[in-house]
Amino acid sequence: MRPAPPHLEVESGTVDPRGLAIGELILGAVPTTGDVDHFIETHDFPIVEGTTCTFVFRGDVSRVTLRHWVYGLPAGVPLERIPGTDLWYHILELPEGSRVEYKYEVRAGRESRLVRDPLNDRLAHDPFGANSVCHASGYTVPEWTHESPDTPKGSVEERVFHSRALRGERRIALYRPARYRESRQYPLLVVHDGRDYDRFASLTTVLDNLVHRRDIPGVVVAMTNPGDRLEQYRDSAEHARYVAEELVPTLERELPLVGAPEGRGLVGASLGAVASLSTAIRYPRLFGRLLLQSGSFAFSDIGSHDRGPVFDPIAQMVNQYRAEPFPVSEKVFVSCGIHESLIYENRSLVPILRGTGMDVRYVEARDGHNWENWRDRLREGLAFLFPGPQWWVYL
Amino acid sequence: MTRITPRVVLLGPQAPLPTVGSVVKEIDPGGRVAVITAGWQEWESDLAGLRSQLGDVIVPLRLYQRAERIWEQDHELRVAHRRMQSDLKGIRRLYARQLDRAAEAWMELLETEGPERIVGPEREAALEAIQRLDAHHLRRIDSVQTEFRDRMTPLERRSVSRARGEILQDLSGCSTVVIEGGHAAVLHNRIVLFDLMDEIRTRIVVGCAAGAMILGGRVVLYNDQPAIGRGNAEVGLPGHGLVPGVVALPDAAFRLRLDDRSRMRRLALRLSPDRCALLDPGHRLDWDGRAFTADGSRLVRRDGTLVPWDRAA
Repeated sequence: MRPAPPHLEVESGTVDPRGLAIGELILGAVPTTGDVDHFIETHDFPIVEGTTCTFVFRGDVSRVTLRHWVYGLPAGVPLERIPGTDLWYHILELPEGSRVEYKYEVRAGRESRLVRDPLNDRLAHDPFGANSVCHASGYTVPEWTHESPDTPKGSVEERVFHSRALRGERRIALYRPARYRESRQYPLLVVHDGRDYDRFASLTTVLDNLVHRRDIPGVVVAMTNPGDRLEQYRDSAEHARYVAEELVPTLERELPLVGAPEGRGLVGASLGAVASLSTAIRYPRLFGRLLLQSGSFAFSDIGSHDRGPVFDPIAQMVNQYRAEPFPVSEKVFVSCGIHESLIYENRSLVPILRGTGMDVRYVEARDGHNWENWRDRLREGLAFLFPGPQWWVYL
Repeated sequence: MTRITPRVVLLGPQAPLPTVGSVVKEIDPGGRVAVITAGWQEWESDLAGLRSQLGDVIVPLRLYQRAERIWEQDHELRVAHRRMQSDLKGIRRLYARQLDRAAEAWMELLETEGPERIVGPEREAALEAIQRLDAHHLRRIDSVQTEFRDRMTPLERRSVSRARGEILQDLSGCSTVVIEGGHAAVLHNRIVLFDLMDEIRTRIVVGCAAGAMILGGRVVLYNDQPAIGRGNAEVGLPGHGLVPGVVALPDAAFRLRLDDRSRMRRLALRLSPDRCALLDPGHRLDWDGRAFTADGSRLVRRDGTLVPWDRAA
């Protein structure tokens, strides 16, 4: 093997490119423009080879930095330029099954901007826009997240709901499963940030598929949307009253719902998970099923938490619950990404919840604080909380 | 292939390739056909698909709707039935917990290396433990259901007896009974509630998917890729025993990892001496009381390989 050029000296903690696709460009003479063109045309990016992922950017710029949201890794990782070319690269070790959202921070002259990876069409959307996505070895998008022509679709009805607790109107989207019948009794799920769950985590498609596969029974879902999210989702008594005393009783009067704790669920991610737990704490045992994803469950064992004043009401709620935990529900599904900083808070909450005697299922994924992580956990979470008749139905 | 005159026909799922119409027309041309679609539950009356295949000869028995009406009329029976179902659910949960550990122990022993004289008898003991557990579970189900029948004597209650009389009237002119798929327990329970199997078994019987499952000796539930858990197959119910020694496994290509030979081997060994019949869409297995003939159906051999049923015979 030819010795690596000087710029390839492998430092401790970095990945040796020898044997990787990018090594073809590095190990020989300075690549020509044609070599780089050929390289770009013949690979998908990022290049995934076993547990290594090579991030590549092409452009005549002065600096390129990989910006990701993987807690534990340096927030910004500089790409290295291959001398004599306009090609930049960085090799990252990513464990099997990882999924990473990222952007490049590109500096040209004095100007610096965040861009999506022009060589990668794979995008994940969120309320702030979209990120590029790297699927590491072993990760595949679950097939039950895709629309299928064979799957009957549920219906979604937009409703305006007047809330005395919130002193105003709230819009909800009401999902009914395909083949809805008034003669059945359906469980009810209240999903916080419902519109975002649907737009970014494919909620209604996932529900259609899970119901069709009978992983879950037919469910009615109230997709709620907050007014002032920061106000209402940080342990707000008004929000809890709206959900528990207004929304749910009204729907249970109007629709064929189970109308008992085992047929009521709260769902939320991030602050939405806080709102779900907060509502369950304020109305214990009213909701027999909780699905809490990447909850922003700030707390402090000693001193103060380190997440800033915005989290103060949450830390107060979580600290109080940790001091005097009690069963607020029957079954709780908790999930969190290993790549997000909230893993500490979520891991810490789980034994507290379990200690109350509730049936708690906790799942971690090699993913971050994002909607597709939450989407990918929905099958397991919903099937745990509302197991469908899959084992019994053969058509 | 020589086609026998069947007494029972087991069919695979009816989507995307419905075959029940052509099968019934072949074996009982012109006969009236009683149809049991209770497994579809609230959608029991959605018969357009069946009518398009079978025409106006069908006589829907409406077991699900009749039972729902009985629950409305007979509060005491409904409460007792719900309690029985709740007991059965509880027993199933306990069975699943034991099964999980027993299956794990057996798998571990199957992967343990060592001289056959040392490891072999332990593997057999682990398998026998699962088979004993399966048999015990079926006995528990039977005892709960028997206790319900003895205590509530549903057939002596006016609402049930009247409905049963109507059903027998409907059945009387039918030479064939088609039992469609759907919820296997609902199908089984409704047929038991109205005590219909002795009447059904005197006719040509065509079972589709879950309808095929309940006609064997045991109803086995399976899903190799469930949302939760390891996907251990479960013995779910005693069957009605019209097809001896066969466990019908419809929709196998979708529900089972057929290419996982060790998994299929474990399934075949565990359910032996019964034979596992894979019934995918378009597949058929006929039983005339003496012999089987098959069209597409496959058998899972004890080494985990799959062979066409006819070749295995």
